[in-house]
Amino acid sequence: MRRAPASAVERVYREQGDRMWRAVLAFSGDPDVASDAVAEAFAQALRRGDALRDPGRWTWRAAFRIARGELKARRHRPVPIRAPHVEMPEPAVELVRALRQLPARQRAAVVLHHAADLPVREVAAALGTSAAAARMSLTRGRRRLRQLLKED
Amino acid sequence: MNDLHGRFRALRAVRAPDLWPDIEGRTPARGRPPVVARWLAAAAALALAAGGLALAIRAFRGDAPDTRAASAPPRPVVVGTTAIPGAYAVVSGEGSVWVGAVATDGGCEGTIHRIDPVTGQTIATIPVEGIASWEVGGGGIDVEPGAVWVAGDVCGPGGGGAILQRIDPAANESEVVADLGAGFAADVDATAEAVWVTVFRDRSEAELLRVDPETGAIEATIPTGSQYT
Repeated sequence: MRRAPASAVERVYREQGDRMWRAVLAFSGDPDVASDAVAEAFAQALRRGDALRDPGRWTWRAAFRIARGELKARRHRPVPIRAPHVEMPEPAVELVRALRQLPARQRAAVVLHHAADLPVREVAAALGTSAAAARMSLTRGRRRLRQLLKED
Repeated sequence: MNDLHGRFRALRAVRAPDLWPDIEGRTPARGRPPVVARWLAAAAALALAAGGLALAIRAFRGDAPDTRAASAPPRPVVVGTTAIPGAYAVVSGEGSVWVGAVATDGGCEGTIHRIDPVTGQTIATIPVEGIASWEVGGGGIDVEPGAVWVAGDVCGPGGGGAILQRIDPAANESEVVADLGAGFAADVDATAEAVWVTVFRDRSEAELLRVDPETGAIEATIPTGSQYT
């Protein structure tokens, strides 16, 4: 299959890759899972060639789907949040630790909206659900997160 | 630091690695179907083969056809099918089946599909401004003589809110009858005298609202004591 023009996918990576990596890090709590999921998502985007109408939207969904699959495979092996090669301020570590306690859909909605700065419509598209359902996940997730972090 | 926004700001300070060299050099995984899926596929293939063999044996034995006479007229059979992406709720009334469907592109709007129960064909596709989210557990649609009621949420710059809509079955058109305030509409039940709607409020309990079907005025607000988790 003809590979997608590297410039188009690479352009998406340069514009959104860092944000995507941080969002998947917040979702998975594991920098290595984040790196693997984002790299795999973009590698698959390159391979799909012209079949992708919207490589940006597609890679967001793919990265989270791959990360979810990896977490499922690792669920019996909890992984520490910190990694020697990644510097994270303590508030960020506490945030990621609290996010881990949310159900996956709520965690994904909160991360996509607050860490990735996606509007609700894009959050819904990335999750493959309706905007109303995305808003519900966001509301529940935020409330639970505040309880876990003991905020007012 | 104990505010949510501050913590996400701290997360943005985390330096992301440059993954592009890995991306360019990587062979993407194609993935094999999981073990369970492969066993199911094999079982389905065996079942088909067994069924085919049974048919062949029957043909060779020349089994007599069933000659029992039909004693009752046949029931209507749906002969058509309609694909409805995003379908989430169904009710019947006013001679039709009404199926609610969410937007599949991430939008807040929805559509109500009016289906002929005999042919399965779509009679009308009616856009509505908001629909209920399946996550709150309700269907959000009810039918009364002369009206189809749809509870739903709309998106808005401030986060949106719950609304009540009415479809005129004679015209297949919808209108917003009541603004139910901030929150998520879950389900609706209508009588000739009142329309009852459950609404989950942000950060608080669910409420049961009684709405005047003629004016759209909220006549009563009843706390239910139930919280969604």
